[in-house]
Amino acid sequence: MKLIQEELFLVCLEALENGESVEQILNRYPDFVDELRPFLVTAVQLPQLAHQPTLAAQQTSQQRFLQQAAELRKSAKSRSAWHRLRPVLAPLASLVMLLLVSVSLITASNAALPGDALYGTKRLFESFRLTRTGDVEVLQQQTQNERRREVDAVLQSDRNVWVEFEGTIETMQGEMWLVSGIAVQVDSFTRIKGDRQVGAWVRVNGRVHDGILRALSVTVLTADQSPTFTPTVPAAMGTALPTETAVPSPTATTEPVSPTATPLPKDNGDDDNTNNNDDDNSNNDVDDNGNDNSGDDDIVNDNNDDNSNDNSGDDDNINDNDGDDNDNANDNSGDDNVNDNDDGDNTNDNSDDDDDSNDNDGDDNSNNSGDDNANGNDDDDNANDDSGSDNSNDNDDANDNDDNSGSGSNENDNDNDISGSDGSGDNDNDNGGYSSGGDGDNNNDNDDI
Amino acid sequence: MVQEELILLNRARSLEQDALVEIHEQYYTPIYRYISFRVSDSQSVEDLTSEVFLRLLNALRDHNAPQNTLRGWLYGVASNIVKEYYRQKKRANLAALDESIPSNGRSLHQQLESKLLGEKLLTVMKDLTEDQQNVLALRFGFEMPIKEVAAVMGKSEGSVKMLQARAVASLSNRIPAGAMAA
Repeated sequence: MKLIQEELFLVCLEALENGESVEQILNRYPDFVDELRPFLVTAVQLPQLAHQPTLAAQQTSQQRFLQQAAELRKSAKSRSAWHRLRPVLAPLASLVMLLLVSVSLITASNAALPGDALYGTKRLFESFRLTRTGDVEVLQQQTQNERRREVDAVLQSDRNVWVEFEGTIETMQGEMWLVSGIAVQVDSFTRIKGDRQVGAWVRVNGRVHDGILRALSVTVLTADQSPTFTPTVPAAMGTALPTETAVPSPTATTEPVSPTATPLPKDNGDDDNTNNNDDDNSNNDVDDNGNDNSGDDDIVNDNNDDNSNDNSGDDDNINDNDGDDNDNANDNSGDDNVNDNDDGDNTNDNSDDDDDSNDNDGDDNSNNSGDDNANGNDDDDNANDDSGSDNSNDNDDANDNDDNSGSGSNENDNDNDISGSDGSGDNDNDNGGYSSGGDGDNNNDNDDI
Repeated sequence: MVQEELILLNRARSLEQDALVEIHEQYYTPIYRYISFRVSDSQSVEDLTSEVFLRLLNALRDHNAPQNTLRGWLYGVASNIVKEYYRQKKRANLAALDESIPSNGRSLHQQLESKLLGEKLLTVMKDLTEDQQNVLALRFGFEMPIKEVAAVMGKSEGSVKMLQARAVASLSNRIPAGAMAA
C-alpha cells in the first residue's frame, strides 16, 4: 500500500468516526474513489460484525458467575476462621505447654535435695513464692523446716554435698553440737560468729561427707530462740555455698567483731537481707556489721548493736540505732528524717541541710552543725547549749547558747547575747547592736552601732 | 472512570455479591462482543464469555486479580481464551449460521446481505495478524477508544491507528467488490 494511501486511510477512518458518511468522504477525495470505496464500506461493516448477547445468555452467565462466587466465599470463610484463630491459638498452645512444663518442673523439683540437678530450681521457686505470697512468716518457717529435712535426707545418703540450715543449739558437747536435732561437727576450722550458747538460733553452713555434717561456719542469729529468717538464694544453681567472713578464733569467747577487721559481708545483690543493698526492707538483725545501706529506698533499718552504719543514700527513713552502738559515723546526708540517736552516741555529724527533729539525748558530744533545726540538747551535753529553751541553735564553734541568733560566735557566748554581730570575746550582758568586734569584751559590754 | 473501576475491584476482592453483579453487568456485553468479533459460533461465544468471568473469580480467590485496570485484564483473559479456543478447535471456516439476525432498522434483504458480508468478513478475519484481529475486535467489538486499545495492547496510539487502517484495508482487499454494499 502506498504511503499516501495509508495516510488517506487514517484520515478516512477518522472522518468515519467523526460521523461523516462514506459519500461525504469520497466526495472529498474524488481522485481516490476506487481505492477508498471498498475500504470505507468494509470499515462501516465492521461494527456490525460484533453480535449483541441475548438476555438469556447474559442471565445464564451471571447465574453461573454468582453461584461460583458463593462457593468460593464458603470455602474462604472456613479457611479464614482457622487463619484468624491461629495467631491466638498458637501462642495459647505455647502458653499451655509452658504452664504444663512449669508445673511438672515444680513438682519434680519439690523432692530435690542438695546435689540434685533440680535443687537450684527448687530454691528459686521458694524465693519466688516468698516474694509473692502473703503469709511470709509461715512460708519462712516452712522453708527452714524443709532445709532441715533436706539435711536429714542427705545425712542418710552417700552424698557429698554442701548444705545450709537454721536451727536452735540444743547441746554443745565438745566438737559435736546438736542443732534442732541435727548433729553438727564443729572443730577448729569452723568459723563461729556470735555468742554461741544453748538456745541460740544459728545458721549452719557445712559439708556432708560420709554421713557427717562438718560445719564450715556457724552464725548466731539471735541469742534467744526466735528464729530470724534469712533466706539464702543460692549463688549458683548448684551446691556452692555463700562464703562467710572469718572470725579470729573459734575457741575464744564471742566478741563483737571489729568492723575494721572484718571484711564486709558478701553483697547479695537486690532483695537481700543481712547485707543490705538496694530495696531492702524490714532488716531487723542483730550484730550486723559493715551494713552499707548505700542504695536508695532502704526502709525501717533497725539495727541493734550495729557498727559503722553508714546511711549515705537519700531517702533513708527511720534509721533507729538503738543500744550500744559504737563508732556510729552516722552521716545522715540527704533528706534524712527522724534521726534518733540515743545514749552513748558519738560523733553524730548531722552535717547536711534539712535534718529535722534531731533529738540528741544523753551523752551527746560535738553535735550539730549546719542548718540543724529544733535541736533539743538536754542535760550533760558538753560544749553545747544547755537545757534552756533553745531554738534554732546554730552551734558553730561550740557554746552558742540561749537566744543566740548571731553568727561568728566564740567560746562562752553566754546569756543575753541578743542578736547583733558580736565580735570576739563576747561575754555576759552583751545587749543589742553590734560592735566592731574589739577584743576582750567583758562584762556589761553594751555595744552600740 | 479508572477510580470507579478501582473501587469496584477492591470490593470484588472480598467476593462481595453486589460488586460481582455490577462487574458482570458492566462488562458482559463488551466481552461478548469482543469474542463474537473473533468467534463466529454464538454458543461458543456465550461459553467463552462466561469463562472469562469464572476466571476472574479464580483470580480473585488466588489473589491474582488485576491491580490497576479491570477492562484491560478482562480483555487479556478474553484474548487468551479465544486463542485457546482456536488451538483446541482449529476451526478456520465460517461458523454455523446464527438464526438471530440483528435488524438495526433495515429491511430483511438488507439484513441478509449484511449478514452474508459479515460472515465473509469474519471468515477472512482469520487471515489477519493477531494484532490486527485484536485491534479490530477491541475497537469494534469491545468498543474501546484508541487510547485505551493502545494501553491494553502496550502500543502507541499511532501504532494502533496504523494497525487498524491496515487491517481494514487487508479485509477490504479480500472481499470481492461485488459483495460490498454501501
